Amino acid sequence: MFMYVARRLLTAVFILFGASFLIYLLTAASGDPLAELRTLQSANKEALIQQRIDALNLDTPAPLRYFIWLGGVLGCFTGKCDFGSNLAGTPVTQLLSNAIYQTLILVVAATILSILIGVSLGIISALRQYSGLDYTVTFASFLFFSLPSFWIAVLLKEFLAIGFNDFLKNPQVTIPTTLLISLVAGLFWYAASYGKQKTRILLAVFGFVLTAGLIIFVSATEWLLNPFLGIPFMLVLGVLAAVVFTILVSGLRNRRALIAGLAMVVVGLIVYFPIQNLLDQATFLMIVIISVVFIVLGIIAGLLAGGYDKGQGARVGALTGFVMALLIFADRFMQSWGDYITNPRIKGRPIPTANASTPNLNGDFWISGLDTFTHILLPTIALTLISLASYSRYSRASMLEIMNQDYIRTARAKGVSERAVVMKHAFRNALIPLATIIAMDFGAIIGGAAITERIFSFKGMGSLFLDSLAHTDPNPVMGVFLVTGIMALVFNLIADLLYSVLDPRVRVKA
Amino acid sequence: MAKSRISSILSLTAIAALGLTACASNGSSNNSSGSSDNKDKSVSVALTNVFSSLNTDTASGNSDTNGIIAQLTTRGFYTITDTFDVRHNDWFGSYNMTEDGDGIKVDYKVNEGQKWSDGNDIDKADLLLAWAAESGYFNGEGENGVSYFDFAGETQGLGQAGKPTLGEDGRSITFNYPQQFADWEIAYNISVPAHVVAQQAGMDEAKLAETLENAEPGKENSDLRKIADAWNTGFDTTTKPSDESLLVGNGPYKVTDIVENQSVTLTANENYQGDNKPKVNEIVFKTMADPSAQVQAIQNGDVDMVAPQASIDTVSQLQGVDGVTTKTQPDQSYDHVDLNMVEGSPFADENVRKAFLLTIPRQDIVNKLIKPMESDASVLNSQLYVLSDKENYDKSVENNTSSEYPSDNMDENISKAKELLGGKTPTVRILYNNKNANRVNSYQMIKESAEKAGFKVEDKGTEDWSEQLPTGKDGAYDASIFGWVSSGVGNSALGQIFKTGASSNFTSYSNATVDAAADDIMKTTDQSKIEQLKQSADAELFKDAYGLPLFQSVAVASYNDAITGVKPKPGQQPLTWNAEEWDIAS
Repeated sequence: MFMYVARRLLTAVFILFGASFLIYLLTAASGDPLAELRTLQSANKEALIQQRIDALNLDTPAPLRYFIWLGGVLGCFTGKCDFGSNLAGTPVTQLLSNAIYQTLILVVAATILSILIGVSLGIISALRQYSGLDYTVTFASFLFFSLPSFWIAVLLKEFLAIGFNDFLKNPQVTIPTTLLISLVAGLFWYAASYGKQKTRILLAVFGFVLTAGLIIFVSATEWLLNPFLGIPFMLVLGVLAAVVFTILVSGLRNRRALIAGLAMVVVGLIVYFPIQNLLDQATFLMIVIISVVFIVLGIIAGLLAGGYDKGQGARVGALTGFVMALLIFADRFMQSWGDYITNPRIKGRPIPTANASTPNLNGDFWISGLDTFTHILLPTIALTLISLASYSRYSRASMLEIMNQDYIRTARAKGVSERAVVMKHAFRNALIPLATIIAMDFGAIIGGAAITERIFSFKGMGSLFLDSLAHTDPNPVMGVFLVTGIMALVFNLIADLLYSVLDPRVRVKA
Repeated sequence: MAKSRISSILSLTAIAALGLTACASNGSSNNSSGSSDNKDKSVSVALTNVFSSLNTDTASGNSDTNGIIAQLTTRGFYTITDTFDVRHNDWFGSYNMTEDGDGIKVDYKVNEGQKWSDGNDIDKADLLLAWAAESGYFNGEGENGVSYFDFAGETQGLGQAGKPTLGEDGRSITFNYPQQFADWEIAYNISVPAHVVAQQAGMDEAKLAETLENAEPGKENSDLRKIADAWNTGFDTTTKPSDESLLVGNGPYKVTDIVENQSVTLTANENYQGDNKPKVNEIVFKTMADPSAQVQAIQNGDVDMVAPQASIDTVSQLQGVDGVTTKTQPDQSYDHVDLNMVEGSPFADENVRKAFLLTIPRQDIVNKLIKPMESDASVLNSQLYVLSDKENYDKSVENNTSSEYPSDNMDENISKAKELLGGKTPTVRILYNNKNANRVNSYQMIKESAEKAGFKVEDKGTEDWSEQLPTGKDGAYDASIFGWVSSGVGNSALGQIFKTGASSNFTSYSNATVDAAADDIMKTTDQSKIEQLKQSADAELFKDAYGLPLFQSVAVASYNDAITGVKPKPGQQPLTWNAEEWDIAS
């Protein structure tokens, strides 16, 4: 094992050398760093060209220039790191640190969301293969996958930012519009449901009524201007969470687990009022601690609830507790929403089309949290939609393969409940090939999302790479390459190791 | 049993809640989010590039964004207006030129009581520092000479004046140019505050002035080195500097916040001594690289002003936005066709040149590429003037023979060209940027039309066109289509492009009249003589069938209707050059 890792790391070093040389030459050959200066007519043209030649060592051939750059980078081992600076004289290290931060803000949420949603959709559509649901999911995910990201971004801005902000001036949905939207929703429910015709029609009616009800409720209470959850919604959503988690983790027959989940709902509701004063002075650390406390309380609740499998109770309790904490935070964010949109910096148009934050907002934790939320909302939706397909397709294929395995038939034959077959025997094994994909995708996060970043004016790794390449500015390009290259190699290694850990049939041989 | 469990859960919760108060934010419950006053007038402007330095005069800090910020935070002896006139800032100081023997003498005097925003006087040290940077006086000769200030501008003009004399009052400076100098009016201006540079260099302002007065040019001097280093890199910052003195200026606005790569906030400078006190209290610049992102941002009200790179899409979208005024005008850059007159090229023969120029469908090109953006766009008819030169452009067009190349009746042109060619079918290789849609379209239209007259056109389009330009001397191509960016002020272009053997003369063009005009123009201060020289050169260029200008690109700027006093201008600082005159109608 150790030898294996050592050998992989050693090859990684050589790969980095080779790849960086190649990238350097490609960058140098990608354009003319003097192009923008050559067409100037101003008197200082010659001086500007000479200064740029000096700054980039353009009088040295590119293959030799690489070694100048390499010398600076290898200086890291002697304590004198020099990644160079860009044409504007900003050190590459500073460019990178800011770009990595922006990229993480932008991409992490989208990656987690697309994994969660994509994998669940894939599993569900595999379980109902060739049903209306399966076809709907397949069609939708391929549709999103094939949309160009710049186009989807422009559409999102047009409808969810500009359109939504205009709508907020008078957030009333007319009755024909309500009916139309509800009809479409009903049709979607019909298409996505499975089973007998009668069930599907009933579900479609249910979807129609639910959507219409929601729209009427939101219009009547001007919920979009003054959103709230309050005790009633938290109760409904909490109980729903407790039931769903119980079904998934242990099956509803384990009443103790359900009780643990419901207990956490009660805890959440009891804490709701006393905790409000504390939340007014929230910090990020406090939010983390409160979430952890809720999870721990959930585990305790599960253990106290007892029953034949305390572990299952603890899991249901922990998950429900976490959801309750999230609901409390969501409710608190909603309480600040009114202040946020009436802020003179926001001027009643909360969803922006670009940039990472509103300058000079000066709000507390909740206001600045909402500000980050509104800014990452559109890019997150765009990135999630685009990457849904790969996860849902992989997990669907993997799940289908597993469901046809002999041990699944054996489990069914010995009378294991369908829930246990799916959740315990199939789902877990289906995740193994996904684990490697996810590990590599996390490695790729840091590379950013070039086009999405550019269109939403996030200055992350992707746009740093693009902008620098456009100016044939090699140092930042090489900086981005080094970071992404190292991440890719490391996460590749992790993926391989993870595989052998997860699947005992695969062994790493030294 | 169950009861005790529930109560234990509750008590645990209570303890946890108690513990959490320890990690509460120490700020009082400041729920009234946003400290800014409703009455405050704020304008936000989209910028394409990120901010990187508070000193825009250095080689690395010389970007459009830095220039926009600097123009609002620092004001000196003059301002370039939307019509490219040099407007003297009389409130700041005065400067005038007197003839002195063969040369000229320019006296600069800062008005009494002019102060930087931190109260420091604008005086001798500031004048000296600006001179030291802008003249290159202290730099040594040749490749290995010492080099101090990395000034991004041209140093030869001010450099020839040598060491200036300082006035008794401690706030005036005089330059003696040994010969007449056309661009004296824009050769010198105030740069960054000297007392801040001195502080960065670890000395006081008096020491800085003394060093600049006494240091010997071309020699290594440790104090001067410190000053130059502070001037070169001390103002580079992408975040709000911890040292607030770097933000000192004397313009209508001062920098109050910088969010790395995202935004720069300027607030009105209450100590601004200029004539127009700013009425808009705050200007927020937001970085948006993508033109379509800028369009949607102004549509959504994220920004109040945009000036993205113009394309047919961008302009038509901006024109469709409600509540926004969109103005298009000719930009300072213009496309043109140059013919390579080097020996061996078919264009060494003047008749072939004339024939080819006749086949260029200039009006069609303008109709297709520019008219959709700006309905009253027209063909450019001068090699040395652009439309913003107004009556001088008109005069020059009258004088030159551009009318020999009309383009409204191409059939007639083609038959004329056939006549000139006399049955020859020369092969011409055209260099252009094949990644630029406008150039590709121009090329296609020129090719089609030229082939009708019997030319054989060979496609030399490449991404590396700018690197290929100088290879014209070796006959690597016969014609080129590309753009020049006119600087709007100054007269150096003539000598740079059209003089025999000049650095940007890629076509081996040589004409004694033009050469003489290029030399003479820099040695006179008489504006009418300058124009006369330029116009004579322009006429020669057309007479020699040097090439043809095609069109000026379009500059587009849009701003919220509520903002008054906005005068978009082409070139640098397209929107903000007169920000102190803006107001918001309430």
